[in-house]
Amino acid sequence: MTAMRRWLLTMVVAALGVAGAPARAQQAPPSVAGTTSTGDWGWLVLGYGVLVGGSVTVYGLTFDCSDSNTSCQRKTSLLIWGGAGIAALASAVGISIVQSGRQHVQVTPVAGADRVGVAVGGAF
Amino acid sequence: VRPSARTWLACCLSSSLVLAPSTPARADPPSPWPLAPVDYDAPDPDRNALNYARAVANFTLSNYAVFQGSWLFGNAWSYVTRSSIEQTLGSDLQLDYDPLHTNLLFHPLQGSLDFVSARAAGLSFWESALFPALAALEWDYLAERQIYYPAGWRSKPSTNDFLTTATAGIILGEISYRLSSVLLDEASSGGERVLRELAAAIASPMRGINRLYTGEAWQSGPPPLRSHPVSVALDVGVDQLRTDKTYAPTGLIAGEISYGDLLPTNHDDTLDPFEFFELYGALNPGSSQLSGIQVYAQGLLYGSSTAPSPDEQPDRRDNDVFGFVQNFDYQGANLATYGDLSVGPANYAVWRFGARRKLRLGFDVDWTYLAATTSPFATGTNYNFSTGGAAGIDGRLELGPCGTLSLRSRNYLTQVLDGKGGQEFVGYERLAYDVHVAWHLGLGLAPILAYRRSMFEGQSVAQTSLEAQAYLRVEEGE
Repeated sequence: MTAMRRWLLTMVVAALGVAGAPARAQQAPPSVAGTTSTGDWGWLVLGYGVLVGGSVTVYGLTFDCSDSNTSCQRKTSLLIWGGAGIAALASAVGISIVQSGRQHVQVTPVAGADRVGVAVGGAF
Repeated sequence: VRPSARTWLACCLSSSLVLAPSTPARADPPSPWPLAPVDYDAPDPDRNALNYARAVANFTLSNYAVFQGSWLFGNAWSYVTRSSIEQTLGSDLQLDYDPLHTNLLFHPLQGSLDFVSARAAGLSFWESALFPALAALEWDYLAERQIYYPAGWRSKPSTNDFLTTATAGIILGEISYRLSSVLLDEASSGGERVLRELAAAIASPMRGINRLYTGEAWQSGPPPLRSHPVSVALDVGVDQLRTDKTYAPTGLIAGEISYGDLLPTNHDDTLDPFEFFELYGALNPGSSQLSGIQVYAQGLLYGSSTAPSPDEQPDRRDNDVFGFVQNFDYQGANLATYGDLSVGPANYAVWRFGARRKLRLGFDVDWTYLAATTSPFATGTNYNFSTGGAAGIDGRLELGPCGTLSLRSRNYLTQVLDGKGGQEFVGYERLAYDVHVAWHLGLGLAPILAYRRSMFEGQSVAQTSLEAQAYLRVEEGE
């Protein structure tokens, strides 16, 4: 199972890389070249998280274990639900980033390059 | 810890460390103007499909966490594979006879996480009420292996797990959500804020997780609108039980929470779900006869009050509320362990004589849609599932400095399910007298009369116990 573990680690590291991306992006100044929203990064987190988590789950579903092989069942179940956990966490975080992006700062060019409208919204 | 588990733990930990700083980029500077208080229990006014999607992600995350805990503890039932899932998906729902505390206490608690998964995502009470059922289906069909037991029953998919998770999760979930709202204050800062966030996360873990990943846990915001009086009491003392013999006194740790005053908050004199509820929990550490946890909760699902009298002061205004209540009752003593889930109409009459002086009388008649009771006639297991009726009386007389006298009476008569036949009758009356002594301290005394009768094919077994609790009370609230 060393290969499987290595594969799982690769997937998790990939997920971490994706999850870390919006944080770095959020710290960058907003672009005025077009409509930019921090919420867009939420869709990326959600999309990649579901992709990675879903892949792990599907990979786990490709295994089948005999009734007596508890060790195989144990590892397979971890793949199935570990993937679901990654997808769920990424979805929850991604959606919250999308929602916060919609409620907070949105920079939109209004007319050409000399006027920039800034709309600040949200509950607080 | 096995190497694979250790690797997984390390990955999860590093994942949480990387994810944590990815969200606070939206932290707002504190507002220079004082903000108007807001209702922390109110749903997101701009909620849309994303809130529903987040609710699904939340309960899947919750189910994953429960799975992961079970997996780490080496519970073989959590080792699901493709073929085990296919087997479960192709099976009918049946009653399962897992340990009674698993079925009637742990599954409701799991359901409460699922309910709060939706509430914390910004949904209203009634919108959230569907989600424990969805989460229960996900758990029953995808997260547990089907196991056959020698007593002739199998574990999954389980009718009782679905019912307990889907319905008792609502009452325990909404109570935990509202209690966390009582603890939160987004206008606070520093150590007080940390303590409030921690306490709220303990009261309602899924809300705590949501506040972490959304960044709400450290955002500055408006203070809470405190529109419902809340009283909390912690009792520490001794408990003595007497049946046909007398047992040695044991320790007692108990908590009692009363939320809301039954005065209507809506213009049409109605009360929204759980604007009034009561929660009592007790633990008898070190006792084999009383061992266990007792949890009783009753919450108002809907209430309609008598019309207000404009010339009356709020603390002198009498009112009568008719509505529907949901009950959760788990008595975990070894002498008679049982759990009951019920719902039905209720009526509360409240007479107010001034500050901390009032009389409240409540009466409810319920449909007990699921009960589980240890029985000498149970075959293959030590308890039976049953369904039937319940009646309850709730009384509370507050006499200011002279103390508070309260009564709780619950009685359940149910027909045994699963083709086994027979009836189960269980009930108790708890009378308590509490008096304030000084500061936040008080003393209390509570005798409890409990009884049960199991009937099967002309045979009958009855048991009665008398219990006395004496305790020191630490109290807070209105």
